[in-house]
Amino acid sequence: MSLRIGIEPQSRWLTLAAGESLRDALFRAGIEFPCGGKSLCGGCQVQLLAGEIEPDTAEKEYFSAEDIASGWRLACRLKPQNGMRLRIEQWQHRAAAPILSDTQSIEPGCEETYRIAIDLGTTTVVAQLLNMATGEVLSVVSRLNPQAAYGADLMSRIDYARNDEGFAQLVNTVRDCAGAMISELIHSSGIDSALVDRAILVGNTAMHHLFSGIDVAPLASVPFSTIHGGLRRLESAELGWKGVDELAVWVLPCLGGFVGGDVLAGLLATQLHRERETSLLVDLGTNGEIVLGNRQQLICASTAAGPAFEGGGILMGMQAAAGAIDAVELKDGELCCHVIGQQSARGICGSGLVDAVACGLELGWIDPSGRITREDKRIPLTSDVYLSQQDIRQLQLAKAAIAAGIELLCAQMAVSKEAVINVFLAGAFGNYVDVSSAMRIGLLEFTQHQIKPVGNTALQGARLALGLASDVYDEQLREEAADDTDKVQLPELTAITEKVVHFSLGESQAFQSLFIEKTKFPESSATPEYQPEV
Amino acid sequence: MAHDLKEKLKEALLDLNNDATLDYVQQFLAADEMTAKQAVDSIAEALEIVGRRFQEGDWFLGELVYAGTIAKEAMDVLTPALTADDARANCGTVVVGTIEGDMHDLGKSIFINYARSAGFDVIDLGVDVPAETFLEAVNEHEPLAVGMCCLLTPAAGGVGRVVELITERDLRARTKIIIGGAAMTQAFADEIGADAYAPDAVTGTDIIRGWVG
Ligand code: B12
Repeated sequence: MSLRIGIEPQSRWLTLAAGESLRDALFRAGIEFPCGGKSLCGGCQVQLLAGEIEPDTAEKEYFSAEDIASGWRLACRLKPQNGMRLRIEQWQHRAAAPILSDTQSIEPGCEETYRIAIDLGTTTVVAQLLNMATGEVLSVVSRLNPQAAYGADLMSRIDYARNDEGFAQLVNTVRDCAGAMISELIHSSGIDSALVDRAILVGNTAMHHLFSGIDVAPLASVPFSTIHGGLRRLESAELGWKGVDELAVWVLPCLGGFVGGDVLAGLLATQLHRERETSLLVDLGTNGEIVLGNRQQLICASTAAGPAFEGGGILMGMQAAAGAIDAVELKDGELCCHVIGQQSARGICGSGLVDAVACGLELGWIDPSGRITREDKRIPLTSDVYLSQQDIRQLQLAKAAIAAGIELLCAQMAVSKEAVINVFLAGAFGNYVDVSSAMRIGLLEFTQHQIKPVGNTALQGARLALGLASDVYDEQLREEAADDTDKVQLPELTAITEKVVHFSLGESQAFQSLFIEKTKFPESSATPEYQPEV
Repeated sequence: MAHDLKEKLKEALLDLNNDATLDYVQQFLAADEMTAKQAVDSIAEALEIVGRRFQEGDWFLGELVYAGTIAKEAMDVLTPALTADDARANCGTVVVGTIEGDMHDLGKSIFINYARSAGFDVIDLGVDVPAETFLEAVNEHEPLAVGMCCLLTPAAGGVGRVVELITERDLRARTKIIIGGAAMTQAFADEIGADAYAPDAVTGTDIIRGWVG
C-alpha cells in the first residue's frame, strides 16, 4: 500500500512506495539528507507538523522533552506514516547559494527573445532565464540532480546505465528535470513561452551523453573516451517537454575523456583560450578537471580526486549544510571553527577540512608525511567534531591527484608554474575553499596573486554561449543534424574543441611517482619545487 | 652478532635507508655464521611492522611504497643465495592483475611488491586484464592464488566473471582467489564467492601466506 506525506515549506505531497524509506522518497523528490542518515549525528532533525509518532530511544536521548513535545524528531529514525507532515526548512544547503547560481548579466543583444542557460551538474542542476535584449538574468532555479537516486557518483550512474532500462531511466530523469525547471522559470517570470527560443546545457561528458541520449558505455572502461562528445542539438518536442514547443536545445561539446562541456564553458567564461599568456582552469571536484593553455595551445586532463572535497569518505564529513564546520582559523594558537547556520557543529565539509589540516600543519599536530603527531591521534576541532588519521589520508589522496595532474600538464606543455599568470578556480568547492589553506596543504602550488576564484564558470559560459548560436545556424544545422548528429558545429566552439588536446593521465608513466610525491604536505608555507621527469 | 645484524637490517629498512639496508644484506652474505634465510626473515619482520604502521595510519603511501621497493631490492640480492630448501619452503606462485576496464595500477603494484618480498613468485598481468587472460594464466602457471585489483565500480562485474571461469574449470581446489582495491568489499567477495578480500596490500600478503602449506 502506498502512502502520502507532506513536506514543508515546499508544500508538496510525496507518494511513497510500499516499504520505501523516508530517505529514498525525499531523495526522489530532490531533497537530500544533510548528513549520513545513520543516527550518528542528529543532523537530520525535522519537525512533525502533523502525525503522531512516538520518539524512540535515540531521539529521546538527542532532544529535550520540550523539543520532542513540539514535534522534533530525527528523520533517519522516522517510519513514514500516511498523512504525516514534516518541516525540513532547517536543512538549508549552501549549494543553492550565490556561487552556483550567480546572476551576472551578459552583453545586451537586439533580439527580443528569452533564452535559458543550464548547468547540468552531477550533484546540482542550475537553470537561468535571460532576457536577451537586456542581457539580464530574470530568474534562477536550482535542484539536486534527481539521477543521484541511481548512484551518488558518476561512475555508479554510468554503471547503472549499462543496461537499456537503466539507461532509459537516467536519460528520462535528467530530461524531465531540465524540462520541469524550464517550465518553472517561464511560469515564475510570467513571460510568454513562445518567446523562449533556445536553451543551452552544459555538463560533464556523462551528463552530455545522458541528456542527449547517447550510450555511456565507452566511459565505463579503458580508455574512457568517446567519439560522440560533439555539440548536440535537440528539439523540445523530442525531449517530451510540454509548454515549450519551439525550443531549440543545445548541449555544448566535450573536450575529451571526462572533460566535458562544462569545462568548455569555463573557457568561454575565462577567455583562457584567447590570451597570449598561459593560464590554468581547475574545477576542483570529485573528478577534477584541468585545462592549461593560451591562444596557441590548449591541453586538458581529468584527475580523479575522489569525494573528500565534498566531505565524502571523511569520518565526520558532511556536505556544506547547516551544522557543518566550513572554515577553521588559527587565532593565538587556538583553533576557531566557523559553522554554517546558527547551530553547533556536527560535522565538517570540504572547505573546513582543508582549513583544519592547514592549521594542523601549522601547529605541528600533523607532520609533512600526514601523520598526526598528537598522542590522541586526532585533530580536535570542537567538543564533538574531530579529524581522524584516515581523514587526513583521504585528503592527501585527493589533493595529490589534483596537484600531480596540474604538474604533469605543466611539464607536458613545458611551462613552469611561475609562468602561469592566472589559476582560475571553478566550481563550488574551488570558490569556498580558503586559498591560503589550499596553498598550505599543497593542493595549489601557486602564489596568492596567481589564484583567482571565478565562480560557476560552467553557468557563466552557458550564458555566454546563448548568443553564439544564431538563427541562421539554427536552420542550417537542423538540416545537417538530420543527416549526421555528430556533425553539428558552431565555429566559435570548434575553434576550441579542435585545438584542445586531451591528455590521459592514466597512460602517463610519470604520473604515479609524482602522485605519491604529492601526497606529502609542504614542509612550511613556502611552496616546494619538484621537477618530474617526463 | 647474529642477533645484532638481524636487528640492524630491520632498523635500516624501517628507517627507509636504502643504502644501509643493502649494506647489511651484503654483510649477511659475507658472514659465515649467517644465512640468507635469516636476512629474509628479518626483512619479513620489518615488513610486518611497516604493514602495521600503514594499517594504523602512521605511515602512508610514500613510506609504504618506499619500504616495499627497498625490500624488493634486498630480496633480489638474497634470492639467488637461498638454498633450494629455503626457496621451496617459501615459494608459491601468485598471478596478479587489474581487471578489464580498469587501469588503476598503484595499489596492485604495492601488493605485488609485498607479495614478492614475502617470497612469492608473482606473475604480473598488468592492468585492463580480460577475464580470459586470468584464466589462461591460471592454466599455465597453476598458481597458489589469483589476485585481482579493481577500483572502478563499472569494472567490478569482470572480477565476478573470473571467479566464475575458474570455478567452472574446477580449478578452485588448486588456486585460491583474493580481491582488493577501492571498489571491492568483503560483502562483494562473499557475493561472487572469492576466497578472500583484503583492505590493504599487507593484509593481502598475510592472507596468501596463510594459504601456503
Ligand atoms: C590515483 C588515482 C587515479 C590515477 C591512477 C594512476 C595509476 N596509474 O594508478 C589517475 C589520475 C590516472 C586516475 C584516473 C581515473 N580515475 Co582514478 N583515482 C585515483 C585515486 C585518487 C587514488 C587511487 C589510488 O591509487 N589509491 C592508492 C592505492 C595504494 O590504494 P588502492 O588502489 O586502494 O590499493 C590499496 C588496497 O586497496 C590494496 N589493493 C589494491 N589492489 C589490490 C589487489 C589485491 C589482490 C590485494 C590483495 C590488495 C589490493 O592494496 C593497496 C595498498 O594497501 C582515487 C580516489 C581516491 N581518493 O581513492 C581515484 C578513483 C579510484 N578514480 C576514479 C575514476 C572514475 C577515474 C577515471 C576513470 C575517471 C576520472 N575521474 O578521471 C580516470 C581514468 C582516466 C584515464 N583516461 O585514465 C574513481 C572511481 C569511482 C568508482 N567508484 O568507480 C575514484 C574513486 C575517484 C572518484 N572519482 O571518486 N585515477
